[in-house]
Amino acid sequence: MEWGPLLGGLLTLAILSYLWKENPVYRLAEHLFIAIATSFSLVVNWDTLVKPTVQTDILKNGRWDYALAAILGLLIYTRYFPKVAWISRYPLSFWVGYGAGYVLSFSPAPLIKQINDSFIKFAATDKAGALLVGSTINNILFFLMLISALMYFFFTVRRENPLVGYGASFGRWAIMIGLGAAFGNTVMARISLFLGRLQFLFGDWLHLVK
Amino acid sequence: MRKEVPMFITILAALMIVFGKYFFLGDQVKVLNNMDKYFNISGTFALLIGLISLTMVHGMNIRRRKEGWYNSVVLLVVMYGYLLLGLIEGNKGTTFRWIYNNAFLNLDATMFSLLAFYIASAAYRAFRIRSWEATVLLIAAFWVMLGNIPFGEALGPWVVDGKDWIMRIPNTAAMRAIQIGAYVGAFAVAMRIILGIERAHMGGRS
Amino acid sequence: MNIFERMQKIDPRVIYIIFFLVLAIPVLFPAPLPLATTKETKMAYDFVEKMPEGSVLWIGADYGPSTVPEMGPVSKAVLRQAFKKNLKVVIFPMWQDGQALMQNFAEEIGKEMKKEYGKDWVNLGWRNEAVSVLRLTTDNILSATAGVDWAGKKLADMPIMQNLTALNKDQVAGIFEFMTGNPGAAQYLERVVEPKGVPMAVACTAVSAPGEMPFVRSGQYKGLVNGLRGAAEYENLVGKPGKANAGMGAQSYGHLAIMLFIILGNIGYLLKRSR
Repeated sequence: MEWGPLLGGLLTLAILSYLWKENPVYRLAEHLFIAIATSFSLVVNWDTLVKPTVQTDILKNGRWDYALAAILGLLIYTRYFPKVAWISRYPLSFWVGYGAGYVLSFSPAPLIKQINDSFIKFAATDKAGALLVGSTINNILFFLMLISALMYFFFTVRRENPLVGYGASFGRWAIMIGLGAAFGNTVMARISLFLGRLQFLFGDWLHLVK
Repeated sequence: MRKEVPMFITILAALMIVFGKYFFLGDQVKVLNNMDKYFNISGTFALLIGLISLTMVHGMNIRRRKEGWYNSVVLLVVMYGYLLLGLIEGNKGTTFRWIYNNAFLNLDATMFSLLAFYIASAAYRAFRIRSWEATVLLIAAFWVMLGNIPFGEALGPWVVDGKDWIMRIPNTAAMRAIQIGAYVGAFAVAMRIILGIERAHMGGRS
Repeated sequence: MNIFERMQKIDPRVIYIIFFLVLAIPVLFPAPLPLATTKETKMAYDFVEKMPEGSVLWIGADYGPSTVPEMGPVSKAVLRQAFKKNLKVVIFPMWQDGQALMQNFAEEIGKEMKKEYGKDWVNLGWRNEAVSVLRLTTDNILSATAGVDWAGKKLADMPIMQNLTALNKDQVAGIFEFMTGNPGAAQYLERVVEPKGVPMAVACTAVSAPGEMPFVRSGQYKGLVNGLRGAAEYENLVGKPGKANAGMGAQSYGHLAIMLFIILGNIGYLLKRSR
C-alpha cells in the first residue's frame, strides 16, 4: 500500500465533498491546509534566509545594518500592544515607500516598449519588399482598436466630442472581444485545475489509468 | 513621532530607490542593493504575524469552546508540529517533504479545482446575452474556446486561425490599453505616496 | 412553465454531477487527438533550442499546486529539453510552492536524464519578498541568496556556481518564466529583462495568457506557452507526450459542455423575456 497517494486521495475527496454540502470533514481538511501552509513558509525562510543571514552576513561578515533591518521588521509586532501599536507604522511605511519607489523607477521601462510597439509602420512587406495585405490590415486594425480602447478610459475628456465618443464606443467593442477571449481562456484554465485532480485520483492513487 | 516619522520614512525609502536607479552616484554606492536587502530581511522577520494571528484566533476558539473548536485544536497541533519538524530536519527533510507533497499539494490543488464546477454553474446561470456587447463577448469566447480544443481544430483550420487572430489583434489591443491604464494608475498612486497625499497605510485618510 | 424555464431553477449539484462525468469519462478512457502547434509555443521552444550547449537557462518557478496540471507538464518538458541540450539549469522561485514543485520536477527529470544536482542544475530557493532578491541576483547571486540554496547548502561549493555570479546577459543565455500571477513575468521585465537585457520566454496559465499577449507582440517575450494546450504542444515538440496531451480529450468535452450550458441557459432566458 502506498500511503502517500492514499492520504492525498482522501484529502482530495474531503475537499471535493464541499460541492455537495459544507461538512465537518471539509472543515477539518481546510484547517489542515492553513496549518501546513503557514508553517511551510516559516521553515523555508528559516533555512534560506534567517539562518544564513544571521550566521554569515551579520555575525561573520559584520553587516550589522542587516540586524537593524530585522529589528525594523520586528516592530510590526507592536500592533499587538495597543499603547505602542503606532510604532508598527514604521516598517509599514518603509515597505510602502520601497514599493512606490520601484513603481516610479522600474515600471516605466517595460511600458515605454509597449508604447513604442504601438506606433509601428502600417505597411507590412515581405523580404522582397512586396506588400502583405493581410498583415497591413491587421496593423491598421490593431492601432485603431488600441487607440479607441484607450479612449474608452478617457475620463477627463467629455464624450460629447465626436472623436472621443465614437472612438470610445469602438474601443468598447474591442474590449468586449478581449474579455471574451479572456473568458474562453479562463474556461480552459479552470477545467485544467480539475483535470489534474482526476488524473491524480484515477492515475496516481487508484492506478486505473497510466 | 506618530505621523511625521512614518511619512518621512515612506518618502525617504521611495526617494532612495529613485536615487539608486537614476543617479550615477546612487548606482556607484549600490543604494538599491542595500534597500533590497533591508526590504527582504525586514519583510521576512515580519512573517511570524500569520502564525501569531492564527494562534490568537484559534486559541480563543478553543478557550470559548466555539463551534468547531476541535478543528482549531487540529490546526494548532499540526501548525506547531509541522513547524517543529521543519526546524529539526530542515525543509529538505524526508518527512517534511513527504507531508508537503502528499497532504498540502493535494489540499491546495483540490481547493482551487472547485472553481471548475463554479465556472460550469456560472456559465449556465449567469452568462446572459442581454446586449449587443454581451453577444460580441459571447461570440469571441466561443471562438476562443473552440480554437483551444482539438475538436475545434477538427472543424477546419479557420477555427484556429480565427482564434489566433482574436488573441493577437483585438485581444492584444484591448489588453494593452487596459495595461497602459493600470500603469498610469499605479504611477499616480506612487506619486501620491511620495508626495505624502496617500496616507492610508499610516492609518489615516488620503 | 416550459422545460427551459424549469431548467433555469435546476440544483447546481446536478450541473456538478454532469460536469464531473463529462470530464471523468475521457480521463478514464483517453483517446489521443492531433494538435497543431501555435506560433507562440514554437517561438518559446526555439528560444531554448537555440541556446548554446553548456550555457545557463534561468528558470522562474512562480506557481503553486493549484496550477500544476497546466504548469507541471510544460515545466517537465522544458527541463527535459534543457537537460538534453546540456544546458545548466538555475531554478529561482518567487513563489514558496514554486521552490518545492520545481525541485520535485527537476529531481524526477534529472534522475531520468542522469543530471547531477549542484553540477548540472541548482535550486536557489525561495525567500520572502523574493522580488527584492530577484533584483539582487542581477548584481550578485551569492549575496542575494545569503550564499545558500533551497536546502541551506553553500552555493559557493557547487561547480555550477563557479562561473555564475550574476543574472545578466553575459552569464545567462535566457530566462524561462513559469508564471501564474504576481510576482511573475512583470517583475522579470522590470528588474531583469529591460535593465539587463536578458531574453525571456514565458509559460503561463490560460487565465493569464490574454494579458500576456501584448508582450509577445512587442518582442519582450521570446515566446508564450498558453495553458494546458500550450503545454501539450510543447510536450509534442520535445517528443514526449505526457499528462497535458492526455488531458486535451477531456478539455474538448469540458469545453463543449460549458458551451452547451451557456446555450441552454440563454434559451431559457430568451424564452422568458419574450413573454
